[in-house]
Amino acid sequence: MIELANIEKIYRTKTVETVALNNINLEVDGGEFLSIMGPSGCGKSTLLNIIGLLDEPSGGRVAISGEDFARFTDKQLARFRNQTIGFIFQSYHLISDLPVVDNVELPLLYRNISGKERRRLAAEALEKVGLSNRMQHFPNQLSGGQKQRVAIARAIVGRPKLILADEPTGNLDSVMGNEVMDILLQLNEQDGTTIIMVTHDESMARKTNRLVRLFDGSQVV
Amino acid sequence: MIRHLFKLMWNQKRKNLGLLAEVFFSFLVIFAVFTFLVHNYQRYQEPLGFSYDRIWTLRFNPNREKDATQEAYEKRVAGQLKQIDQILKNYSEFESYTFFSGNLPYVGSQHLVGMTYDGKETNPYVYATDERFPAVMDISVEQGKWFRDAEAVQEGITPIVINRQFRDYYFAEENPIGKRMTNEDEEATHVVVGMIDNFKQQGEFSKAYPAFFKPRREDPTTAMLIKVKPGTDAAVEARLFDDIQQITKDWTIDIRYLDELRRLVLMETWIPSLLFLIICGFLIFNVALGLFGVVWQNINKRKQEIGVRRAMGATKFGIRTQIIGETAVLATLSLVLGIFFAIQFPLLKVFNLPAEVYIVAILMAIVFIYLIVFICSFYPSLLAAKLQPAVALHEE
Repeated sequence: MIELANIEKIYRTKTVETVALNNINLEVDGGEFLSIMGPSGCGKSTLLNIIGLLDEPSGGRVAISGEDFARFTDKQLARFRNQTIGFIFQSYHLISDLPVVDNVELPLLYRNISGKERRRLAAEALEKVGLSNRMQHFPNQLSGGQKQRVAIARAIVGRPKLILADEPTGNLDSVMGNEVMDILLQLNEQDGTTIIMVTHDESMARKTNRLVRLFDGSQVV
Repeated sequence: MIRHLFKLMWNQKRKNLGLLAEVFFSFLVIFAVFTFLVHNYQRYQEPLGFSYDRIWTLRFNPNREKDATQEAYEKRVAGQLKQIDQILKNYSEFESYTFFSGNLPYVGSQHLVGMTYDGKETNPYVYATDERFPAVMDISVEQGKWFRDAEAVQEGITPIVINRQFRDYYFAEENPIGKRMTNEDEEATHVVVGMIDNFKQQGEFSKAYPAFFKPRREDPTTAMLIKVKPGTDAAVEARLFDDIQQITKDWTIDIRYLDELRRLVLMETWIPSLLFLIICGFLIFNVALGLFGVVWQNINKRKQEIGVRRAMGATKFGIRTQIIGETAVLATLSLVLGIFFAIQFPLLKVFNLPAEVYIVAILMAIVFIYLIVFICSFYPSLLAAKLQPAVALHEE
């Protein structure tokens, strides 16, 4: 499903060159649940952004579902992200001025789907994460765990093949973290969704199929 | 998507209050500016009604103290004017000339008289002149004819030539020729013999006001208008001055060029207008800067949202149109409120301006506001669209 070959990411300023990722090679099969671990600043999130086509590598090749993105236009990239990838962020990144259901509908707005159908799919996604009774609540009326569940609903509403989760339990206590992790495991097992999760939490990482460790931008075997 | 954005904007109404207020007040200022411009432009577009090219004005100030009675004064002045008339006939440099009351074109002096007809009463401008006036000023009579000097001597009847505004006020659509009127301080009956179009004595930016012309028999005329031939120079002016001075001795004589008087009168409008426009331009520039700042600040606060939208499938173009679209919708809300206030001006006939002036000004102000809004939101929207989603998502 995902193939990363010789991925490099270098941040250059006039005087300094910082290597964020160095020669990363990784293959992820469809339906796999992979976790990426490493200390802060080792390049985990950068790698996730590159896989999610939110950032471009300085070198190397990214292929997802056989697509090579080197010549993709902004429109094609946006379309691919919209239809294939779901994102979950550590800080949830919900739009505070919109109720839960509108936040969940967000990815569907960039598809040609009627309002009624959008609402149905959003309700279905919220049902899956156990928040169908919070549809009209605003994010600031929810707990951290609930916010992250809304973010998961938003990630899955468009039925993507791949979910990228950047420390989804990082801001949650262990109980809420476990709840979120259970939902992700369920999505992986029941729907066959491929999930790549960045985490600091060893216990969470152990629940996944495979663990990749990064250190100073390089893959540790 | 539109419903989604409307909902978002509605929920962010408090955050958008600054932008709403900015656009609202800008609209009112710009509406005032355009009202001023449209009003003046409309007046400028209205025909002046006469020619000012190659016309000299002569103003006399006969010495009154010399004569014991008003009658003696009038008799003496009339005799001297007759002599001046004879002298001017010998000037080959002059195409034509006419005697005129002191309220010359482009001169601040005004003479109004109360006139009544069929219960309608107002105070039109009145000018005293002779039969040569239309030729000097290149005025064509639209209806009827100009009065002859011979007609002016009929006792009890004063033939008058009116302008279109006079006709519109007193007679509306009726044929004015032959209508008889009286004025407040003369016993003579005024009979309309002709009608001209506009006569804007105070110049291009003045209002075309009801006015009429009557023969100069009763008024000791104190001015003249002379149409000179092309190329007539200051030497002729000096000769004329000397010739008149020979007859009048102690009179004060002032010779001016009508196009010069016109230039001075126009300056009186242009200079304050220019100052007003500079001040307004400065205000508008500040408004634009403010608007730019508000939109830019708004985008800075929403960087994470922009990152999320990009991650969820928004294109750069989509982000740009969202920012511009949102600003345009907010501007529309302010405009609706602004228009509500602005529309009161024509409805309540504020400043007694024609409704069309306000309507045109409102429309122009709307277009102008949208233009400013577009310009001020375009660059911030461009920067927002250029934000790297990965960077935007990590903005605090």
